Amino acid sequence: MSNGFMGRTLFVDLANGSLTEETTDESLARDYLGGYGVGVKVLYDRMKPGVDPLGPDAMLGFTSGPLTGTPALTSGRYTVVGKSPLTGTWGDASSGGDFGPYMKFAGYDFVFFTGISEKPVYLLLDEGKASLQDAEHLWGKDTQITDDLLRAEYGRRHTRVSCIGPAGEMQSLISCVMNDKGRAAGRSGLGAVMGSKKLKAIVARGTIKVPMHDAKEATLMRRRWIPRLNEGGDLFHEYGTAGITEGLVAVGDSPVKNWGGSSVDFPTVQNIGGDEVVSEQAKRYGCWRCTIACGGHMKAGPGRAKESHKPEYETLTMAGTNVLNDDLESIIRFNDICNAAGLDTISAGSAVSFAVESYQNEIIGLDDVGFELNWGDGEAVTSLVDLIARREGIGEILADGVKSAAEKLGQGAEEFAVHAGGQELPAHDPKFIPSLSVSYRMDATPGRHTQGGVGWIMGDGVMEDTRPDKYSAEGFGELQIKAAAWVHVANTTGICLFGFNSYNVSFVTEFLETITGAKYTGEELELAGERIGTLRHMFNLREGMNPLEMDFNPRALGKTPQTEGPNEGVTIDDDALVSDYLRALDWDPVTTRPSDSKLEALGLKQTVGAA
Amino acid sequence: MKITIRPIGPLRRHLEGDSKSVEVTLPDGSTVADALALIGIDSEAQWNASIGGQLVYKDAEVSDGDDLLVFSPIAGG
Repeated sequence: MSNGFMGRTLFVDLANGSLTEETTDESLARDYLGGYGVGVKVLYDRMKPGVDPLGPDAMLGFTSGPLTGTPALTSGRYTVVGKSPLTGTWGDASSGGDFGPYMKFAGYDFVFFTGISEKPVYLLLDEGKASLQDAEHLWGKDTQITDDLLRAEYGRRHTRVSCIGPAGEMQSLISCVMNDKGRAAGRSGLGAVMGSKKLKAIVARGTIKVPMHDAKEATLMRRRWIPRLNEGGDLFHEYGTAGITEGLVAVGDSPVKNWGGSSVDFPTVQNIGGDEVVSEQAKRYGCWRCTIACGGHMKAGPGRAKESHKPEYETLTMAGTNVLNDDLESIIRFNDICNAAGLDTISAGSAVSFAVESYQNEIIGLDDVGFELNWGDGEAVTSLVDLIARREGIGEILADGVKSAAEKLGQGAEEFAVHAGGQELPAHDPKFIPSLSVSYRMDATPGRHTQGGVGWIMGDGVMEDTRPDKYSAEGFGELQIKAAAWVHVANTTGICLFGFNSYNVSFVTEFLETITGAKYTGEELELAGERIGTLRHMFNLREGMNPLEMDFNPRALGKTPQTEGPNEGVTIDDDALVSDYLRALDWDPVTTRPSDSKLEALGLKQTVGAA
Repeated sequence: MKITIRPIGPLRRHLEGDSKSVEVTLPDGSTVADALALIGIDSEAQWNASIGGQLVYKDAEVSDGDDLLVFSPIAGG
């Protein structure tokens, strides 16, 4: 088996409790790298189209990359994959911390589940052995208690836990998978898939070393690379992502007032800015092999979780800026509630701002909610997310996301449901970063800010944007392909995007070669990235999902231009950008099906057949 | 005229000690670049700036009482 992998892939049928091991397929690792690359290939081959994502035939995968758990910079990522119950499309969600590396130290590269267990169970991966264990005593427990109980049982030092909380158990479509008590595989609603299978957790205990082509050189290489952190990395080290909140409101990247306002409406953003957040931090922490260390534990305080984590920029914006809430304490508590319940803070925050605007427009009232919902009311934000976490009262409607809630409420509520294809948009505005209007629609997981875009997250040195301005569609397509492909490479090899963004991109190639022994040129990696992105798209086409037919809230595109603020007068011509992207991809401009020659060039012809 | 400059993140190294902001005095007609030069931030370096929630560029004129926010180019989060 290739270096960089443990060589073992596990298939678990939860219906009958059978566990089947296969040798990790070397050719898959070469062509699809790892993570959701291998994940999509396995699910495309083995899961029937059209299955209910919460039903017995749905598959759910936990995947690592060849660099996960190695000395490579920021190599702590694992990715959960499946069909998203939130969007009906391909779904994946990645997380840092230490769980991914420990899944490998326990002996496994990939674990795929199918079926539904009769009673709650967890999977134990223990030094090369796998078994299903009773989880009746854990069902109903929050993610932090679950983590504590399991690590107490198996020993804290070499054990890590990935689990769902009550939100996943209750199959909230905006629920996530949590590990290390504060790291989230947040998007795509995959916590609900885990809940539907009555799979409470995966426990990984192990000390097995990841086989490497040249382990000594990998360690030396790491030492050489660490000082080469760029300024963006310095900022994340000092503040975490909280350090960008003030700046991104000022430039117009952050959504304000449920995407209907601008920085002018939120002059007190500095109350939730990096300095204020860090003043409440007890200690910063890093994920596996990360010296950026953007994470943080917060000081103890009344109403806070026993282990309270530093809110990310996304959380500060979705529960702060986007509801005009400058009460930092309420956002810390919002974050704690989401982490404990296993809710995605982006979608939960969006559900809150949707509810506030619906309340202000008398679509819902005091009788529905039980308390007033006004812009800027931090206490209402925490009270409401608590209801969502419990699926109680109005929370029952909001717990499946804004698209579903708007359909249930009617009365024009869809105007306030800011999503793409059913997934709530993250806190980066396409009016400021126009390429995201394409990423949010055209990536196989709609509404994601971690899937690339021109002028957006990418390693230093990936490319230079040579267009006359950021709105220009001329030559956009080729650049967007490159940006997306490199992000797929980072995501699937197990590298954190913040590391990817904070060093020259050549580190990925160098570490891959040193650790796996396989030589990749930049062009080969780009091709692998495009292959992965294309197969994820083919998964969606097979499900009957054409991204051109997807709902996309026009607020995010400035279809009615804003009249003040940094994005005043801006309307994104997303049709032109998408059209140029399809041209460059050689995908049909109407059906979005890749041409036969493109499928051939990517080596996908046999996989997708006549689909 | 007097304005306040508030660097964010690593750009704080241009301030003394643990200061989070600094008040500077400038002649009328001064620009964002003039103001930042006073604390040693080069106009050719990579940074973004805003006043009152609006993005401003290096040649923009500043006014008495402005609160000038300056921060590193950022992506992610």
